Amino acid sequence: MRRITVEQVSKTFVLHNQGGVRLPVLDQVSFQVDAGECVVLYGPSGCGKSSLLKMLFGNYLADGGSIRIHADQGETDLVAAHPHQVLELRRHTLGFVSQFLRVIPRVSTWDLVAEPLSRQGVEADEINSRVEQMLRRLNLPESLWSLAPATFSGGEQQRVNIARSMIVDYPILLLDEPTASLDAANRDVVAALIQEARDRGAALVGIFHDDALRTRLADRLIHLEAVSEF
Amino acid sequence: MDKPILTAREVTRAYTPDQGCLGVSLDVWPGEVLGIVGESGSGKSTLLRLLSGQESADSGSILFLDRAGTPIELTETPESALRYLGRTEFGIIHQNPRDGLRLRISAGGNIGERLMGVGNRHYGDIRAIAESWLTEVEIDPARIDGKPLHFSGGMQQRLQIARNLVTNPRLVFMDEPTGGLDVSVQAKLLDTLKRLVHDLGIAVIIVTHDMGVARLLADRLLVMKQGRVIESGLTDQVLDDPHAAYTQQLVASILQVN
Repeated sequence: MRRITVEQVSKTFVLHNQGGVRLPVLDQVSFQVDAGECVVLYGPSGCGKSSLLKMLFGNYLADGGSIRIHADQGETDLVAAHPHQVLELRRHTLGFVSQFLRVIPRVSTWDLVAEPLSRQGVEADEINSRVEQMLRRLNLPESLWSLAPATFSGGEQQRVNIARSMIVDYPILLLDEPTASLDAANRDVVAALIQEARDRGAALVGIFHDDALRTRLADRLIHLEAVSEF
Repeated sequence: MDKPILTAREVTRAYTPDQGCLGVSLDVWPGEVLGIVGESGSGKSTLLRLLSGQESADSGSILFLDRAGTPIELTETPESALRYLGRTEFGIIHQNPRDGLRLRISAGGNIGERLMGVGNRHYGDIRAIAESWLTEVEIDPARIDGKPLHFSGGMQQRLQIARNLVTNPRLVFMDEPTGGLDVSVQAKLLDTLKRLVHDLGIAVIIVTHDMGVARLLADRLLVMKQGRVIESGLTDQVLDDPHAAYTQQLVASILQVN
């Protein structure tokens, strides 16, 4: 089953306040991703991997082309979508696992991880058992659960973020170097979570700088090249 | 859920040819937080006053859908009817709590007055509801008989929120709600607002010049400059991938704390 269809997508950043410099990052990129496969964006630094991943989440806007998301509820082109359609896709279909947690003051680890489930209207009992299971699995000690992650270490914050974005069984998961700055044991846990997501039929698109992890997870590579301006 | 609660088209109130609010169109959907950002003088507060009926537009249309689903054209609604809407359907949270509270009547009285305005008459009920709302906004209910004149700025602002939300408004207007507060007090207030807005499912239009506040609270953003909307979209998209020169400048001027 097709989950993502990217056609002829281009992106150029225009820096108006730095002399109108134009930075082309993607030029007519096309590819598809099916349910149950893990596709890795691959290429040199600056080739637009991260920008492309953000476009698949509706966080960056494409200049042209189309990014069609095939959700269970229907198809949406992110390039033309209204913000409400993007929010709806993020609630049920698109998960994004990034390196950095945007900390909300005073919100506890537990509540942060539970929020995506409560937004979907999942029952409280089920939320509680899933949150506890996820926090234990990612080796976040119980003493941290009631605390806001603002004062946690980088690795702990990242694991809170992974727990939060992988607690929902999204049909599509976007992974931006999810294991950077994790120790070996936790890297294995995250790799196992990613494999389980693929096995249950999620379509995965990721950026992995770690060669071993990439080899372990990738079904297919999408090669991106730096765009040269002329 | 399938229709905007507020639909504004070409709303204009011109103080000078490039000052005020000039041809602004927007939709607000039930349960969403719409942020309006821009520097001082960009027209964002004027827009808020026009949308909430505190000031009259020169031209344009502002259509509000009430609880019963009846469309009401606010620009053609008499002031008495606007005041009724203000009590039953709207909440208005001012930057300065002194504009939204009666400082010399008790905290309980400030909340109770709104309840009486919509027909509540039972003293015991009113007091019980006021107490529960004080708890909701993290003010010690023992302060129910205290006058807001003697409250801190953060407490006054939380009381103003309780006074507005007690009547279950469907659309709340906020003008720089964290404006005059210390950073630590701001965080607490923002957290309270975020929780209440999410739990109650109310629609909010919030004006702020603080991009951090916008990112934390708003689902969508409008960027205003010289009275006009120059960019709009999903909050994280506008802040992470800004297109207009002015928006890029606004975003670039945010202090990076990490």
